[in-house]
Amino acid sequence: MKKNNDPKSTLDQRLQKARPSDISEARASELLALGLDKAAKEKTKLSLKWIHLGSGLTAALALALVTLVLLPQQTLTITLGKKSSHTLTSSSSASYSSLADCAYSDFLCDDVFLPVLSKIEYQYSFADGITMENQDDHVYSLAPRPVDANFAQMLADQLDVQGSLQTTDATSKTNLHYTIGNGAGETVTVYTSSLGQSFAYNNDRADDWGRCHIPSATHWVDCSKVQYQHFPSESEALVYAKAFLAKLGIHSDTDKLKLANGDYILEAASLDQGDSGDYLSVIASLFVDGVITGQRIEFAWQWGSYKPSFIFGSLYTLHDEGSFGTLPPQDVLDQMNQNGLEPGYISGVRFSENTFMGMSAERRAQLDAEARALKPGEKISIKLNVTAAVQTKLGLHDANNKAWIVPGYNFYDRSGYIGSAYSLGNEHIKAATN
Amino acid sequence: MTKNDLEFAQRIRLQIPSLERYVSSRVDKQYVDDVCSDVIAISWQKREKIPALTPELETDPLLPYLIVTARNLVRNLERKLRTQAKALPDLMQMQSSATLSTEPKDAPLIEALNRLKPKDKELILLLAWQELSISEIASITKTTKANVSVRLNRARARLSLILQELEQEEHE
Repeated sequence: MKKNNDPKSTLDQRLQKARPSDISEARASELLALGLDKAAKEKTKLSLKWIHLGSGLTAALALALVTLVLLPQQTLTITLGKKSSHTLTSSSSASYSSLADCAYSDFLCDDVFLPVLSKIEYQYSFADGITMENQDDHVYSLAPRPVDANFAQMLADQLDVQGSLQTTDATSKTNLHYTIGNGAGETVTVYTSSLGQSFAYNNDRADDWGRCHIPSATHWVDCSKVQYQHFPSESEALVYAKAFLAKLGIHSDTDKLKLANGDYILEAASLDQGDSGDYLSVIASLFVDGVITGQRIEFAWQWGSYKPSFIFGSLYTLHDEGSFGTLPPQDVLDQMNQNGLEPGYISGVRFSENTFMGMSAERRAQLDAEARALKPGEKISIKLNVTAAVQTKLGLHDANNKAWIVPGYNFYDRSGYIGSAYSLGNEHIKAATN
Repeated sequence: MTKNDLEFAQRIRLQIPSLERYVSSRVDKQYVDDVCSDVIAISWQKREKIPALTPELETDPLLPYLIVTARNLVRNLERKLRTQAKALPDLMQMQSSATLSTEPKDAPLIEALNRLKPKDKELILLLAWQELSISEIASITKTTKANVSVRLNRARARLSLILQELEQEEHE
């Protein structure tokens, strides 16, 4: 294979000379050991685990177990596995989903980037005097909608991205990508991975106007030629998103009363980014049994651009699998204690001040310092007294990468949200031995 | 460990310096070990699916795989930290992006690289520091070779321009 980095120019030579030296043998060995250790731990990891969905947090999910549930009239089989760590959160309109990325890389989107979280052990109790009866509730499966070259072309047409279709498979046959780019910063990518089908539109030109108004920024475009485009209002962005989704065959609305199960609810949010102007996003979330799930498609606009800066999401069709038994909140909390589950963290909700996400910055820094001083195997214990459990719907992927939406609870204490966990009966989902 | 496992571990071992250099150019120092070890763990779990190193290949196809995986993990990290930053402004100090150290010999060049758009910087470094071919970069960035070439030319032009500006400023 011919290399194309033959240093011919001064710039190439300078780049070559500036290249950092290889790390030492010892450091490479250390990284290899760390990686193999993680791989070994993932293989043997059991038990229920709280996971983060992309950047937002998330729900509870089970690592592994085959369950066959026989009900009088119907049978439900959910086989959970390691990849079940990709779950859907129940609410959080402002949380940000990177399910597509998680799906592509098969990366467990957990707390590796905030090591302190793995050092905290939460103990849950249920406030005295609260009783909640368990009842049957619906379970839904999500069937991936097929995506292919035609779908990529349809998206490109819809977004007016003109270019030839490229098929790229950088890693394996299970990660197939169709890409259409116009060579001017706009790209439509449709990809199928082990966890489903996703699409993404990226528009590199969308932030030109904003960047040209940041005095300290390096401008890689001629700002005198960058034209301001009408920056949509929230209502215009909602109309755009609704029309875009309609062309994908998805019904959406901002009004819950106009939505049926499997439709998407639209919410817009603006953010002032200071010098670089406003940022506007619209999130379309799958709406199930009156609950906004974490399965979403996100649109974003940058100041000075009418076209979105990006759109991404995954596509599913909702199927009602029937109604099944659930556990009362106390039993779910007992499971959380047995399995050492963390509370969740998502943006857009008021967190309990007793959780890592809700506590003061000072307390968080103190915990971080305490965690760093711990010996291997030691944990910091935090007690959480749940005062409310609100029924909701949560999502997870099973061992075969099929997505499900199952009944669950959002837990709260007196100062705010603690986290969520599914409540589907143990006869349906149990911890496995592998 | 089987013989195949040992061979694969050795393949990873040989690519770790390149992986570490790539990750260090993308994320802050505090995240390098986590990202690198996650990439190694994922590649180990998927070793059966990674193309074998055969004699006719000049380079190991494992490296592009490692870089692709690292790119995804870095992107996850960036998104995670962006969201956390919205919810937790005090965690803003946990910046994900890397500023290349000026320790190497050519400080103006490093400064110029740091001023580039991240995508431009990544392309230039994939070529110059990871020694990947245009074809491999196209595969990693999920675009065409022609597109990579065009983007690289533009990125190099921007880098040259910034370098000139920096050196002019220094001269003044």
